Amino acid sequence: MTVGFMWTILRRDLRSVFAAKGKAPLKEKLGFIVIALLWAVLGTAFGYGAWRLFGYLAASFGGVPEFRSAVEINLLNASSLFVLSMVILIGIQTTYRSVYESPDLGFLLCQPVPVWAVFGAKYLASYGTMVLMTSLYGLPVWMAFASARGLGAGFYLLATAGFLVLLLACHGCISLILLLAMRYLPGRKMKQMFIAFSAIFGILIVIVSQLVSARITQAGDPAVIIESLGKGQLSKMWYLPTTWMTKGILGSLPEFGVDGLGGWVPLVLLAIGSTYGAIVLSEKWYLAGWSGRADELRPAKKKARRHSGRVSGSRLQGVYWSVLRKDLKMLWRDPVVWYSVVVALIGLGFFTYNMMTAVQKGGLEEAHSGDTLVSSVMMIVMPVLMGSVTSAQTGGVSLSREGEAFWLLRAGPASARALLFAKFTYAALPPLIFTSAFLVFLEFTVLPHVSLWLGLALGVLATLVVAALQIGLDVYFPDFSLKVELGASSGGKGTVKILIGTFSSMGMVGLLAGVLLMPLIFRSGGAGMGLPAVSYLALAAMALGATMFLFGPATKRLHRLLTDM
Amino acid sequence: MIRAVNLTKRYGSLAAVDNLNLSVKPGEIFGFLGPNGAGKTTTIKMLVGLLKPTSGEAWIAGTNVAKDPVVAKRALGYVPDTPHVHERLTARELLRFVGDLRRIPPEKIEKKIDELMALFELTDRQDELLGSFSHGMRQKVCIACALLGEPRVLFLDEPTVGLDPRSARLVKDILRTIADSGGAVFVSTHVLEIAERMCDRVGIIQNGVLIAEGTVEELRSKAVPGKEGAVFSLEDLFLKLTGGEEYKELIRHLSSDHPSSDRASAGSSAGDVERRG
Repeated sequence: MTVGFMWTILRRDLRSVFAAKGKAPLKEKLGFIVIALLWAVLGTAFGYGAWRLFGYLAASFGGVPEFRSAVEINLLNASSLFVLSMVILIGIQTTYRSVYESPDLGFLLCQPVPVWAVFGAKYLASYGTMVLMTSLYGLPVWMAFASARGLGAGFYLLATAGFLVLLLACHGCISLILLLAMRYLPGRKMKQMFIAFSAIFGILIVIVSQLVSARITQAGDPAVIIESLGKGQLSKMWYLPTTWMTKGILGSLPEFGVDGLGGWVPLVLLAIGSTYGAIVLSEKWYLAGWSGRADELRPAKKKARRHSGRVSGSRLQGVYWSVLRKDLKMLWRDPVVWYSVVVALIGLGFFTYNMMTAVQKGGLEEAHSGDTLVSSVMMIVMPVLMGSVTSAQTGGVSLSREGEAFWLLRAGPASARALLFAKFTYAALPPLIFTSAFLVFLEFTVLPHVSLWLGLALGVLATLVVAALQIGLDVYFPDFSLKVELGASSGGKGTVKILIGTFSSMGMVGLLAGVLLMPLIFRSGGAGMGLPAVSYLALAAMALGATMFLFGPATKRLHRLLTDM
Repeated sequence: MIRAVNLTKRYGSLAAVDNLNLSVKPGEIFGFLGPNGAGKTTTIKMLVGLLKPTSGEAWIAGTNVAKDPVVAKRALGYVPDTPHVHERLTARELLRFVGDLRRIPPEKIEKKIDELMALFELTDRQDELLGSFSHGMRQKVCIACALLGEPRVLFLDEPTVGLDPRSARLVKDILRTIADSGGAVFVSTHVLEIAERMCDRVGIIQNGVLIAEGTVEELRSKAVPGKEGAVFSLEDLFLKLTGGEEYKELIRHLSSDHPSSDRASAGSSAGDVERRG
């Protein structure tokens, strides 16, 4: 009977998703298709990469099967560990949103339905979402392994089952923690904690991946890469559910000599136990915990005073300054935005580190001779790129991030041009700051670079083009329901928007790099290296075009949003 | 002060607002009534320049809203039906932002914020982030935003929703003060008591068409020809004009099946008799 209730809720959720997609306008449908395609392409790319790697192992170490198996175990376990980290990063938020923040929970909990049926439906819904989101990173590696080894269909099924049970175990544990937290913590505090935890964990992942990438870049030889991955002796991490999964699946292959049952038993027990525990506890804790969702945390007076206090009477006014000041103030208070800034800084730091190591390895003479143009252009383009990725989640979507409060600007006497340029400045700030700071920093290093003033001028022009692109995209395709959390959107539509913004910015930076590298491209044609002036002019023309776009069509479009929406 | 001339908004074949004509003079509070989905919010949005009319014109303080929206918006204050605000700003910062947008001198902004916060009893919480504010408190902040620029024309879309009785009374007093000092107030509401007691004139819209307009007394005499002597409440008039009478019958029919129907119908008849004098 109760399972029937659960199914009714789930069926309604599924129906509403598909009905909404069926009746959605073409733009939304296209967005959905783009996500699905992106998901498929990324999965295929991961799988293909892994397949090549396993193929390389087979070709290189086919003669030493024990060594090959050991490396394969470590690789598979490493990929499962990566899935686990993604589950921690994405899964906590997915579960939190589904179990705690679903808009229909108030309605459902008022119905004459057992609490655990409501919780169970939300539990299954978030589990499904988690499977969709994380299978991309885990399953393709196992499929590639099976394909490279020529294994039968049974192994594919076993690997999928192992993966699903692992996710169920993780999801059960996360739900138990969530139930415990929601029972004893006020809603706002809990959200802050989850966001902070995910942010720190995400930054750790970035650092570790950058470290591995740096080692790989420096090593060059795939054998060394595999060895370095194998060094972690991941199979000795017996206490992790990922190890149980790896053991469970590989237990079906005698050549690995792994105790499969020793993997399956704890994994299945954990999955069943945590799920059962969460459902039983939900009957006692869920309703009380959920009802505390709107608990308010009154910030300490002293801290609040610091927020807004009195200001001097001589501040700059008008639409441009007041909007820019408001946006920067809100940025300062948005901890999740700092996440993207930190990630960009880490990326830039590792880029510098890799370049410096390369220069030291090759000797300064070698670095400064030949293709120093590539290095010099990279030194301008990289900070613009990192800044643009940051602004793709901040200033680049700042019009959309006005959200439901956009009425304040629409009802206020705000001219479209002033508002557009406030948003443009906000979008341009991260790449400008990154580029300026990085170019000044380069002056104190041995890395090849153009003169400071030339670099700054080129950086400003490139920033102008990229920021105009981001603002143009936001003005033409605004999404006022967008909420950015931890470098991604909290909604499906918003995710597409942020992805499109980020990738198109990256593409534009690539195009700008191509323009700056024109002398190198035409060198083979005999045009020689005397073309920098042409490439600078081309860049200036692009910047001029971007400015004209902002003053013309983009302003008109924003005027329409302000007066007719 | 406020003038709508043949104001029309069409979405495909549906006319959300059809050929609406009205005007509100200085010193007047105009109550805009209508059932859900009648076109009240669409009308207000066109009048304040948030929505372009398909045809017709909206004028605010002598300015054509569509032609010069920025000038028109400088003269008006607007409170939307849902109080969405920037959650990462404090109440004082949001008001300061609105003041800066309107280029009000900073000293005046600070003074005005102090007054408004005191008026709405938010002084203690003015430096807290709006994310922690309740619906009613946000509503007060939105009303304060609209009042900050001392507008000559004020539009309020369901202003008392979410407010406690004390704050609702305060809002009513503020609107009266604004009108008495020569301002024009346009208020859409479902609370007929507000319209009856506070508004100088009332307009009733249904299916996008303004079906009645005038003072409450005028509407009473127009709506029930031949029964000039009877005293009808605005609620009765509203239901009569918007077709709510049929629902009354349905409710009566449904309640006759209910166990407590005798008591309810007795009470309701007594209430009717009492109200109709």
